Amino acid sequence: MKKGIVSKMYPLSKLIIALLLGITSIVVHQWQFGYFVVLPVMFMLALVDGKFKSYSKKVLSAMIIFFLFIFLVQAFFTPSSNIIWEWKFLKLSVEGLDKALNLTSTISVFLTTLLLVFETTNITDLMVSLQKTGMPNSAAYVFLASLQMIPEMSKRSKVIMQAQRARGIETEGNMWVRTKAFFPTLSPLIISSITDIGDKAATLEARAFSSSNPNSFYRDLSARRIDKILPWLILLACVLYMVWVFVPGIGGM
Amino acid sequence: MKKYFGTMTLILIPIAIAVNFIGGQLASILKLPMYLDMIGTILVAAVAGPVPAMVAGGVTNLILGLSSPTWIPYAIVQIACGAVAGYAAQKGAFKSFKWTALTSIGIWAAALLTAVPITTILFGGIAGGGGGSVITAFFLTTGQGLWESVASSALITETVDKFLSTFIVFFLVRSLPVSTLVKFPLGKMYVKDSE
Repeated sequence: MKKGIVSKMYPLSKLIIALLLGITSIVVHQWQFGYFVVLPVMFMLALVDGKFKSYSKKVLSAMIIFFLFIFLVQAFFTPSSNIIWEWKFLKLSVEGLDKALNLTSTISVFLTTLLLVFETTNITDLMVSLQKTGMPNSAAYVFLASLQMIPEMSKRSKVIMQAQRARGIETEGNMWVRTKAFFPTLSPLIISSITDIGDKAATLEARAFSSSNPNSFYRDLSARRIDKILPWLILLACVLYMVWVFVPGIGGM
Repeated sequence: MKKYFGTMTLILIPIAIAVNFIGGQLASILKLPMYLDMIGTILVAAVAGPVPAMVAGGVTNLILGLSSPTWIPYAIVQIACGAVAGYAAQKGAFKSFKWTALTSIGIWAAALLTAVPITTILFGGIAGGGGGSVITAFFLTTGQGLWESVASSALITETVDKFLSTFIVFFLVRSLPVSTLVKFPLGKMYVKDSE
């Protein structure tokens, strides 16, 4: 499969750019930045990369209900005298609306950029690029082994649950019954996984896991020139934007 | 680094992270009004001390953040609870029922002190649109302020959750085979106790 332009980028560069945009949105505190700049650009990048469908599904499912609640709480319950619209105990105020827009805009910047990074990056590649900048390999192990462990143990927990049901443990009924079903499912899973650790440790040690020699990498991954320049360009743009917002006389507030 | 992370501890951490996930998953399959997503973190705290527990807790939320980035700030909650549980465990808290109960109060307080400000300041009172947020919205309609509403809502969802999680670990440590237990940094503590 051919890789899109975002997928081809060096993982670490992508992550840095995402964080730069996030920090900028916190600093400038203008909701237009999130909604009119970052959001459309991220969707466009996803489209260009050919990941539009899965990406937009993830973003929308993360945002819709969450933002609805934030708007409800902020817009209607921020105490203020500037009331635009009123119905029983609900009072929509200008300040509240403004606060809600700012808050959701900042969250949406982090949400859309980080989701795009994770959507277009192989997590193993991200770990390799972090290791190359000096992250200890045990940290990469923890992260990657967890990603592998979760589906594996989740499958096992379902088997255990079925087995316990077959023995007559009730998993439906009132809350007390359901709470009691929690322990016989989880504890065999935990205990069996932990007893396996000894074997796993031996396996890893046999492959020089604790060795302090420099690592070699199976994955070949290197930053192109644009991957090195782009984060700096974005940083420059962000700084210029901040200057434009905060220095009166140029753009200013 | 080496002092805190033996190979055994390093392998335990991913398992604990998976346990955190599955605890949360099971709680929602069984429709329990709790998260139960900290059992792994507390377990690491009990057998390996604070630093590994903080790592396990923090990475749990980073991984949750891969699919929904709003979880990432709550890593602080896991880290704080891991630290409290770990220090208590180093002092031998998980050896007795009474001290485990006190530890669970400490964990509960750490969770409230970190989760409430995150929800209120970062997300304007809404924690991901889940059940807790409905409760928060309910308190708001009764005329309480935002901080009070978030705190009341957290009080309801966190209290039973943290006590239950801590005591699950208390019993789990007792059910682990001695041969495995002694390989962990704090494991010997529990072996002497059982004899």
